[in-house]
Amino acid sequence: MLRLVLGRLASFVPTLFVASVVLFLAVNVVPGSAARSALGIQATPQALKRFEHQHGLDRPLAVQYVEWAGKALQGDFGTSFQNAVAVGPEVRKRIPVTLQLAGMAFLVAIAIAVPLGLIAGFRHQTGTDGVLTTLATLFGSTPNFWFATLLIYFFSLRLGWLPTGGYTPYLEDPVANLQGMLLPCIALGVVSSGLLIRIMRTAVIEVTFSNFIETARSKGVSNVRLVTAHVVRNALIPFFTVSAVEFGFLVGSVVIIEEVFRIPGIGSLVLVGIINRDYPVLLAAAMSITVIVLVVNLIVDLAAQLIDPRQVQVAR
Amino acid sequence: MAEAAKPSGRDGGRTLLAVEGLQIELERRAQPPAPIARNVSLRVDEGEIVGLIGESGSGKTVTAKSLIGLLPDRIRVAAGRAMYRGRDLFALTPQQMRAVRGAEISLIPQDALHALNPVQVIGRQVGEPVEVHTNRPAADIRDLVVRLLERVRTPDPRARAGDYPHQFSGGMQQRALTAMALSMEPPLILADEPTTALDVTIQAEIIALIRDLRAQTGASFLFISHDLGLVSSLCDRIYVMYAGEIVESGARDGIFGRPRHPYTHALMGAAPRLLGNPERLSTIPGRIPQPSEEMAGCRFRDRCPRVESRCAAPPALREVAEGHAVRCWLA
Repeated sequence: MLRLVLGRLASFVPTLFVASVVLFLAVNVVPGSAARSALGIQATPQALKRFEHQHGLDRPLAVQYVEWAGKALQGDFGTSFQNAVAVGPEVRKRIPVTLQLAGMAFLVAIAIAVPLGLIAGFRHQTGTDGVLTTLATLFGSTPNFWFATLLIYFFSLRLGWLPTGGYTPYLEDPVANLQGMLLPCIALGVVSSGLLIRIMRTAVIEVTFSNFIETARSKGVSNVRLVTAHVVRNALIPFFTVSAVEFGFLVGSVVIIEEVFRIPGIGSLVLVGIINRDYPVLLAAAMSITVIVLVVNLIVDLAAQLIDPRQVQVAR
Repeated sequence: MAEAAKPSGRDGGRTLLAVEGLQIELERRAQPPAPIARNVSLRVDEGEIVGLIGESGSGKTVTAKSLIGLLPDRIRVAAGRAMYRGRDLFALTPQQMRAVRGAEISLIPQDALHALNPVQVIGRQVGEPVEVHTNRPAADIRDLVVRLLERVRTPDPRARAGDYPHQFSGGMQQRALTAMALSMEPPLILADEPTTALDVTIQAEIIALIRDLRAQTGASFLFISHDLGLVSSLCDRIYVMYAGEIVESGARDGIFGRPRHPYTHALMGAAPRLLGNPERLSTIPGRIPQPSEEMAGCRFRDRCPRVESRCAAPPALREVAEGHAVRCWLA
């Protein structure tokens, strides 16, 4: 197991390298000028030139990349073009916020997908399956910002049960923190569950066609016991492996949801970085999202292997 | 049933299972159902080991699985009775059938590796029939499992009960499945090619085990196989199945000493002389007809070396000697 974790951690290095190069290129290819964004439309050409020279933006991209990467490796992500605030500490402050949001939303998605996918798969090609599969399609194709707005309208404005947005740190006030997180987590989780329900359903169908399910039936096992003792654990192995991919999409959606609910996480930082062409902010925020996705993928993979005795055996 | 073969049982034992006129059909879209088993009648007496042999696709596995209601989707029993201890197995409700499975009639599946749940320890799976059918305390069941594993000659049974299936060899897995089928001491055990995936020495062990178990427990076995060598050494009586029909039935010595049906003949010719395990019996030319293929007359006609004009009419299963029935005009 330890060797497996170390191996996976080592594989982060090339992944992060490639991700950083792609990000760096993408940021610089996007039309629009960082200098103009920072200085405003009235800025003189000389002022723009001076700004670009100051921040090294007039040098070749490769040189800029090496300099940025070298500093980033030492934990220095530079300062914001906008207000000269150090980017590193700002990102570090926001990571837990996004991690909590994405993590809880993922749990919501799994909590919806596992039971529904289980029922759909076990009753596949029946009316129940049809209803659940349609529901999954509906969930998966709902734009999450629209769904979020709907949630705010009903639960915050009409019913007044929950805040419309904002963020309270957990350590400050746990109840207020969870109240604020509930709607964004549901908005993200329900939409993500669309694909996860289908993944679970497919996994369950595959398992129910296994010979050992027939063996269990031949022993006189009831349907409930069949599912709890034989289907669930076997279906969760492929489910977890595939659901790790969905987590990546979920984190992508965090950008919009944080904006909708005014949550000061990495996602809103990405948005600010894009709008202002604030390269240091954008790069640091996007890279930290990459790291979050990689780490969560690893955790989910490990979970999948822990429930599979064959894998544990190999990895021991 | 006019076609019911009634060869006399071994030691004149009481009849345990009597299947009569069993018709199994595959439901098809926009077409009439295709028969998979046609008017099958067979009998298993108490303490008997009965062989059901035939090529892949002859309908033998489906026939056996229909008895415990484990037919795949779209395959169903269309007609017939399976009288087991005064009850018709085909008339049971799902709940009643569940009470029969594993307790009254159990199954030793083929393909041991895939027949075991990969994420559950062996002991739990072996003891599951007892867990499901009785209220015995968990500690009792654990002790029983150890005794069962011991009985099927698993070395160090107490420790190995905690192993996962992938930690067992193929032979050990098959023995565990056998222990599982025995756990409720059912009167009837359906053994579906239980040795197909095993190599020959382990095959011999499993066969010896089944023979011992019959002697110890008095259980009856319906032993499904395409391997004539195994069947000839193990079974008291034999049914030969071809394309969904019983084509010959009788006591072992009758069938092997004097096979009357050309298909049984061909099977014996196709069986390898020494060792080996042919999945396909290549020396019989042609292939087994699909359930969907309607054939007038004898269903073996196209492949039969002795085909005659009267084979265009369907032959009936008729008794040619005491307890020996054949479905062939030439017998």
